[in-house]
Amino acid sequence: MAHFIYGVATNTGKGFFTAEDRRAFFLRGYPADVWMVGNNVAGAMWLAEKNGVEKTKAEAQALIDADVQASQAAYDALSDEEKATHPGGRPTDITLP
Amino acid sequence: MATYEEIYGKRVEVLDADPTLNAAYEGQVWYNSTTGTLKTVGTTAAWVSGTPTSNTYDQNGGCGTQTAALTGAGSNKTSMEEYNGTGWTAGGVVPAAQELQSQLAGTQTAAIMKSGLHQNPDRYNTEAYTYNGTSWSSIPAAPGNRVRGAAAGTTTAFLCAGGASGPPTFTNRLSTSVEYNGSSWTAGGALSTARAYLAGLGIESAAIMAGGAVPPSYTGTNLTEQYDGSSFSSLPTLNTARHGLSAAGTTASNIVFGGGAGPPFENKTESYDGSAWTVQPTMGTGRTYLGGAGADSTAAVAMAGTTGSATSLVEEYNVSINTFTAAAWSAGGALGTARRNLGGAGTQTAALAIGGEAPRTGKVESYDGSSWTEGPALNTARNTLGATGSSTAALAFGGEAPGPSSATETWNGSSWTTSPNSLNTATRSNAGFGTTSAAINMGGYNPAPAALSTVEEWGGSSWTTAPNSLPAATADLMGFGIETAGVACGGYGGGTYVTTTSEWGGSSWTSSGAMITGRSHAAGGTGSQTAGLISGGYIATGPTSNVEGYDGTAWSTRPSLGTARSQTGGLGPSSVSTAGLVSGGYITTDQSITEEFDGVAETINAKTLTTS
Repeated sequence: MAHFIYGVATNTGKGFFTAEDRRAFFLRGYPADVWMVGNNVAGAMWLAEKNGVEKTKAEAQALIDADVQASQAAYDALSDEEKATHPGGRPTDITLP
Repeated sequence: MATYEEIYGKRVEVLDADPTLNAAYEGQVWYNSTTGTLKTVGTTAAWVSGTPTSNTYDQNGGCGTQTAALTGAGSNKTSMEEYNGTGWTAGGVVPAAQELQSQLAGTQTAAIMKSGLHQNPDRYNTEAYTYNGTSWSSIPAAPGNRVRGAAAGTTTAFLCAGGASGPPTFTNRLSTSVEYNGSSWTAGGALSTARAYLAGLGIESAAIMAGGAVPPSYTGTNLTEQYDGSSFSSLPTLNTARHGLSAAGTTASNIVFGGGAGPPFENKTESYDGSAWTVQPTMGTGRTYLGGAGADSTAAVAMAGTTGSATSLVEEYNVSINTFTAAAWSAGGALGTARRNLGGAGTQTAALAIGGEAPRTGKVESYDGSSWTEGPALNTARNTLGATGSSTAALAFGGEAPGPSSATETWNGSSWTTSPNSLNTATRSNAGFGTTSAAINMGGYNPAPAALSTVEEWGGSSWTTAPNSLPAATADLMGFGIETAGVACGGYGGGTYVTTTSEWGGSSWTSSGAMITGRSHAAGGTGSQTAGLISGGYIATGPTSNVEGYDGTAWSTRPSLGTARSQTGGLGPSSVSTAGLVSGGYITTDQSITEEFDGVAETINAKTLTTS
């Protein structure tokens, strides 16, 4: 059984995930509204209740890659002076664990 | 039969509401006339989740107590970690990578281990080491190779029993034991049944060895045996036979937990009071080959272990009249304007988000614990600024406007006023702490990439350059506290993300414990010099969700943010480390998200007495 469920859900602000949720299952947010949650009943219910759309790991990774590539392109378009103050330099790739 | 009055000295009180509860109510009984129920405060046993270890471990060792534990040296790693009851800091690195299993005993500042198995290639170490709270030192090698045994005792009276000699460890189970007296090893008494992956607890002259795997495979046993310093004698058997379990406590008050050959692995807990094993509440996550620590059967910690793969899971066991709720981050209301490099002030339920980018803005929003509302803007739009204060009395200084700014503005709860007295040195990527009447500005750029070490003191109307600058030139650092007791930490300087922590005492800096992970651009300004919180930020690999807490001496881990990000806004000097707030920030785009941190909560709950 896979350890995680991947999905896309829009963070609606207060109450989107609660402290009780964090205690009940693993949760981690990524760019492109991608969420990785623990593969248990609580995690699956949370994604469903947030009108989340479940994705395969490959689909979720593709969404993140597209977002990162857009930010990298935006960085590449900056002036050298602007690049110098961007923390860490060019945005790095993000790989789902 | 004795009456309640005869036992307690008073009759049962009749109250129209439950009283405000404190520890003095333990065992007392009262009648709630409104609900028509008989109530009391009794103890409850439960496991609650704790802050995960920084690394994952399988077959790790464990020793110490719930508030001063030591674990690590599992999964063929050398790393050890120390727990203070709240979070983790790196301990001294073990000289050899290994799977220590249960061959560790003692305390966080005086531990002893008999080396475990080193894998790939398998190496059956005979080395042994002691730990002084900082580093490991070699002691004479233990006789014979022994892995996956169990230990008890101290650095001067140590017992390691059972386990397996190899190769192969699969069948060569041991019943023998060895003892160390602080200078040399001798043979100890023998277990009645040879077994490996057992758990050990207690001291050398009063130890218990519980469970284990008996040949020919990983079949668990329920055998427990007590050692008196020379020989083992049988004790009552465990309710659940298992191997790979862990244990904590003394021969008269202890618990064992986890184990099994799953999946699924055991989450079962049993306590022993010197005469019988009693089933207790289960762990949240069943696992085996884990580490354990604890002084007795009322307070223990289960550390890492495997659920099929190595974990960093930590759970605390408490028997108390208090109900503990684990710390966690939750989603807060979204900012009206997504932004990064903003300033922050106030508290979790009364905060300000000040300025930021992109594009550069002077927008200010206030938070009421639920939602953000836009208010009067800064007179000078800017990002990467210093900010501190409360939601009704805040200070914004420096920043990029464009170019490093010296502008200083004060907020009185209804409008921003530009001070005629600007910073003496214009700066961006600066930080600060304090109030509108006494604050500190420090570090930054003018221009990048050479960082500043400049420190200026705000006296309520003007800035004065402090004679004592930051110990090192740093930009995008974090600060929290007040003008007479503040903290500067992290940042970017000298081409690296620094871990440096410096405390400001009102006139000069002193060095303090280093952060676990060097970072810049984290939300600053949460908490005080003795209880601070730094959340997220930028580390060498990009934006992070890691959170660290400061206790006035050292940093330890806290539960992670839901979403990793940097360049967020933080809080002011009235905030507390158990009620954090992180707003906005940057991942691959500017963010409007907010997260709220709630520290461990402890409450006393009244129980209703029934006849069932």
